[in-house]
Amino acid sequence: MVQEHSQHHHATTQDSAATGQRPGTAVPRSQPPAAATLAGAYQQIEQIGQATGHHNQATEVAKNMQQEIGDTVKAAGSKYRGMTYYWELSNDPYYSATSATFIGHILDLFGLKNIADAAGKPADGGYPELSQEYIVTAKPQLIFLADNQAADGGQTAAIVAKRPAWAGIPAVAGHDIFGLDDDVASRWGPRLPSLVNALANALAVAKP
Amino acid sequence: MLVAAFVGAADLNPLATATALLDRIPFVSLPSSMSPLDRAVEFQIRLPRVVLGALVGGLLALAGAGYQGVFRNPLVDSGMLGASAGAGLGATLAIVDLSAAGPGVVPIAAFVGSLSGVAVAYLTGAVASRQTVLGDGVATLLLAGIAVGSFLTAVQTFLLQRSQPDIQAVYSWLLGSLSAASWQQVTTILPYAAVSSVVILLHGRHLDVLAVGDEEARALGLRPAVVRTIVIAACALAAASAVAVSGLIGFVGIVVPHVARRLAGPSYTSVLPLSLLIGAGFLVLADTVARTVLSPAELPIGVVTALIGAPAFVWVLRGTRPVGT
Repeated sequence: MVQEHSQHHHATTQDSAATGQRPGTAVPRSQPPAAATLAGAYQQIEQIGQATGHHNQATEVAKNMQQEIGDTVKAAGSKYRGMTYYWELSNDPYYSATSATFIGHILDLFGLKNIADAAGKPADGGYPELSQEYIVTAKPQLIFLADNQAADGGQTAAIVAKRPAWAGIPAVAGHDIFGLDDDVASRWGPRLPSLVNALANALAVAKP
Repeated sequence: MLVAAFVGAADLNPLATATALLDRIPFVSLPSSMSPLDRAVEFQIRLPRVVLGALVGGLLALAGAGYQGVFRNPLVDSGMLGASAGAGLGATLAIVDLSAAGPGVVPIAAFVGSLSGVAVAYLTGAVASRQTVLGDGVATLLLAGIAVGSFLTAVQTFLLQRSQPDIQAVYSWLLGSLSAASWQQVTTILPYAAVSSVVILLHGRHLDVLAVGDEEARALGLRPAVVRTIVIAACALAAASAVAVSGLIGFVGIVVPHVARRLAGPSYTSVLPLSLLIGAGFLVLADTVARTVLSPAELPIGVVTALIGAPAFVWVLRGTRPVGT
């Protein structure tokens, strides 16, 4: 409950949808930016519900999402807390996402530590290009592949394990490399509980 | 290159690194205190990146110098004959439409695209020069290269507009990168690099003769069209090999030959080998800056070559004697 309360306080005005009329027409429009936090995602869902005249239903959806996510995180336990992870957005070059991003906030729920945080600068918006040397020497215990779909680069655990010098990374040696469904991992709407569930399932088989 | 082997995001002990490097020399045996992980970082990540950077930089500079000699124009590089645009289109097609074939298809598509771009530009120029009254096949070829390059870039832009989710992947490739360098990439391009480099270097004297004009060259027993075709083909192979493994890295092919000229004079027997060496060193330097200045994050190498190359180009131009003086 304390975590939920703090999440509400983390929703910012930046997560609010810009509203107005489509230029040259009388059609009202709403232009929500990409949510920066979980609370921001809930807020946008409620705003969209309000804009479309389905405020009650939208509030219900947000509430159910929050409940489901909270239950999933609680059920996942705490054995993996403090484990380090590397989130791969692309390879060659190796783009990652820091804890300051939306996905970083999701993984924060599980108490994981992001190796990209040491590289993040405000200018890169939370998506730094990491040096391969750094990834290897940071020795992440978990690797999440957001580029495992063919359209994103087709990176699999087997391909990652064959990268030069990557065999020494704990996540590779322990087979703790998890590919994520792009449809779930990159959309911040009502499928969020599916993403959290996928992460919890991955952590259930991870070796701390 | 030696310094580049000692610096990077991983904090490796310099003494241990030095002994590990020396130990690799045949008949030299030195114990090193490097851990297996550090050794793997040095010999499987850092060293292949340094070597690949040198190869790519040397090839791009050599191809640029060769093109400048063939066209007798100091502003020509491989980008002006459709090589860069062809490689960009090939890579874009691979990322947008051929992703199911696996990540390895991108370098192959870029290689084929680069060669195809030059081939189309060459054929277009050859056909047009027979039908124009310009009387100067070289200028026509250059114009054809610019036209073909613009067309290929337009097709690439159209493909990107149709597939916006792939924009980041394509632009990452277009900016150039050595971040996933491996010994496999080095050995893959080595045969093409060797063949193209030898052919280009062997034509240094011919390019000097071409520099005085086609008529004069014929009078001296040279066949300008044959020399031009061979050198363009070799330069296209060199550039295609480089872009296949590194993406598009700008400024190397156009700036480095000018630096070589400032140092060694206008003769291509000096400019070509010097361009190869300076290009290698320049790109290794640029890559070292790219991977250390924001460590552990990296800058795209194309940004660094532009930041270093542009002021260097101005310095070169300031020392260049104006035409007619």
